[in-house]
Amino acid sequence: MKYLAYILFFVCPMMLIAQGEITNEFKFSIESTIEVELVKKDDCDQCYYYLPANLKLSIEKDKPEISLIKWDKEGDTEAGAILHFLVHWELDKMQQILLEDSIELRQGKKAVIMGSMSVDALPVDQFFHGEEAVVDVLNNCLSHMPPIATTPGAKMAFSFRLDSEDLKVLEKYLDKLNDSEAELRLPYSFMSNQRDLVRSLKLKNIFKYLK
Amino acid sequence: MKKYLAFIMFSIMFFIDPSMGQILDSENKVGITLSDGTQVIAYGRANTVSSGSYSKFSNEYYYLPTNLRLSQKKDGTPEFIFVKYTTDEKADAGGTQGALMHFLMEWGLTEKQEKEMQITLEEKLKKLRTVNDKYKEVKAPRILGPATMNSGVEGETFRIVSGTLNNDKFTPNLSTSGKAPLLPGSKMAVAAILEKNGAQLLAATFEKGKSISDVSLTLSFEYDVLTPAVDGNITIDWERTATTIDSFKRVHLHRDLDGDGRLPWGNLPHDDVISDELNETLHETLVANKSVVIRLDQLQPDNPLAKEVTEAYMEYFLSSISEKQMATPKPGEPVDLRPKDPYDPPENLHKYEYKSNRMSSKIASGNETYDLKLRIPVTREMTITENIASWYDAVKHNEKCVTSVNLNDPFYGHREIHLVLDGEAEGMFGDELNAISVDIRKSRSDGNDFKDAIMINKKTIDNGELATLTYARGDDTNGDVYEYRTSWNLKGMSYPEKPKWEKGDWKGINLISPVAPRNIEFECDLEELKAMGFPRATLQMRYMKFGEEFETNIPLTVSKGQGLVEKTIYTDRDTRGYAYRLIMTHKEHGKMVLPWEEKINDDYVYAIIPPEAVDVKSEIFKSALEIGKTIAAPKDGKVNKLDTILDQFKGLFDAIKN
Repeated sequence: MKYLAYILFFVCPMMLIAQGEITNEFKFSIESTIEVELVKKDDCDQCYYYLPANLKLSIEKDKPEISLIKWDKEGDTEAGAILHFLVHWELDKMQQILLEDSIELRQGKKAVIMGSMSVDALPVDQFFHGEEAVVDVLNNCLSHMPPIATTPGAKMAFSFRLDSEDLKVLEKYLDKLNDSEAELRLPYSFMSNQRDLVRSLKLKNIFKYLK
Repeated sequence: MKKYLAFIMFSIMFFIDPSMGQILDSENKVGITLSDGTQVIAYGRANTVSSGSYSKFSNEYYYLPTNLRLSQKKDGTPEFIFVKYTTDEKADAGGTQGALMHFLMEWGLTEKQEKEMQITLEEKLKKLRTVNDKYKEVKAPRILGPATMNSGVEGETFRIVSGTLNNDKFTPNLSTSGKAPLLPGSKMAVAAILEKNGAQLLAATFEKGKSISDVSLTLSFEYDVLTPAVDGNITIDWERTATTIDSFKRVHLHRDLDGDGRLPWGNLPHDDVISDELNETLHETLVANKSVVIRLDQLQPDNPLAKEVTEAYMEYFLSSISEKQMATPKPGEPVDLRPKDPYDPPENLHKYEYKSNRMSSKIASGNETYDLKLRIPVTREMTITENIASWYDAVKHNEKCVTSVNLNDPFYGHREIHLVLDGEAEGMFGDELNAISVDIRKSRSDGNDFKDAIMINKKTIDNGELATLTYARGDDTNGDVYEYRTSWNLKGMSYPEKPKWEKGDWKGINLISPVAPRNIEFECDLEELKAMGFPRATLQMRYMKFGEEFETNIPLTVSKGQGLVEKTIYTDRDTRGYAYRLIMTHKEHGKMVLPWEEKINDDYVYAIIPPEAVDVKSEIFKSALEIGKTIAAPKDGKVNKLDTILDQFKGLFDAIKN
């Protein structure tokens, strides 16, 4: 029995399997724009978890959660601005029902979305990526690196303190928003198969609400 | 034959900290979306081996933190306050402007949400029963409450995300209650003092129709879920294993190892002993030829950890057919084989003797399969974040929560009592005056009476300091009356002897000296004086000062050639003049003192010497000489009461009564 101890000590948490054995992964599209990756539980042919999907700017009571406040120079306070926005990922109730219907249509049998897959956030040096100058501004002016949301509906708050030069870069960017491919990226690791995945959101889909 | 080992029991005993609270089952996880959009993740409680329901799902569910919101008092008032404040005074006069914000938050499902969660969970599991047999046995599922979060998490678990509040210039003072609360309903507090620009900025994000404010709050948590670590089995074909071991021994051991020239079948029994090194090779051989079949799901065969697990298994079941002992040292080698470094034992420390009798009983049992199910707790992280704009919108019209105040409460007000020194008095310092002491008192309708004192001296005047006293109003409703008394500290005396209290004025106290200066001019005809034989003439004055009779002499000397000399004296304001006489110093006869005369409202004296003053036969001459022999200078100018003369001119020195 002492050998049992060896086994226990040798098992590393990296070998863990979240939420049962996962062997099958699928991709579905809902509402024609939202791509969802699903994993099926091995011990349940019709049970699915979805990987982080539908990363977007948060909307609360029909209001996009983004704000840009600017001020002019006054006294010894230099001109500047504060930018603040929140993002999150989730499939709402209706989207989950749509997804279940899509799966049933494809697989020919009833499907149940159990919820979101357990994922771990990977460390990041920067959130914003792209060639535009605004990317550097956002990365440099971010007041805090927010913890990456690992559960659906959990928001991430981004707050920026911009000086007048930074603001000019942002405003210039807002003028040619549609041409931009810059994006916000959130990296995760997915325990089974230890696969990394990245969820991204185009900055234009965040800042369009400022126009 | 399958054997179910008690790995789970050992794993739980080894890795589960009794202080963890309920144990969550990672395989029994359900995501629920409530009608208000709140996403809730619930885990079933993990059934342990000791519970007897190990392989089943529990019907007890716990939810992860969600629904971060503003706290409310029992009467429903939100626990939020945002107060903009200002003062009438500007900043450079001690005024201040800014805002104070303080609010309390909590997380957790409300009673209504819990009820909905319960119903939705039941519906979800009803759906799951149709697709997953494990849920068929979950009867009457219920939400028991929140999952236990880990305490002692390192790092920041409660963070404010704000360009305004995290800026020291906009927010000179920010306090929070520290860590994220681990229980629903436990409150977190945030308090901030903003300077005026920060206050305006934050208020702009609250009030100008912005969708969010510049303040978001993030809580971070860690929790443990029991997660399958290894799931697999090992199957041992004992008959094949026996064959493999025999073959192995023939290949590796039945050689003339001991050098005695005889073949293995003639070897002594100890030749069948297998060393550590050979034992490893035996393990590999058993796996390679499928005597032992290892299936560990989700683990790659070449995964080093999988290798270690399989080696441990091999050690385990092979120990059932062998004896492991410390190896016998070879001739010439050290007898003591205890390793110097226990963590780095030498090779071949042990020997293994495979027993044929044990093997026989195993062969009789046929194949054996060992199922391995190992679960260990894994720590997961999660966050919840909300922006306070949604909370502010609910309270912005509530006067209990959002208001402004002008900090002009008279309680905190101060009044200044300025003391102004009359210009004439300033000139008295040094010659006549040392200092002026002023006592002030004020009785308060509530609290201790106000009493203070101030001294004004030459230094005060030289420094240009404004003599001021400050009076704090507090709850005093009697704000317009105070009293003061003044004491003039003169050379050798104070005046008046018993100063009286006078009513004050908030406009200030004008300190007027009781004496006024007079610039006396004394002139005479020097030629006339000389011709008459007087080398000197002295004007002697008597006058009232600080209520006493004083004497001052102004000499005029012919040899100096000055026909006019001046001197300032200070006389009581309530007197109109002074008395004077001439003291003539004759070169032959000595001092001659002429009679006293009065002077009213005239500070100029011309020395008129009557001709009789130089007629040695005249009475005036004789009298003047006589008086001249007896005059004496009073000390410090103050006349002895026995020698006063002004009472003869009392009527002339009466004060002009107002």
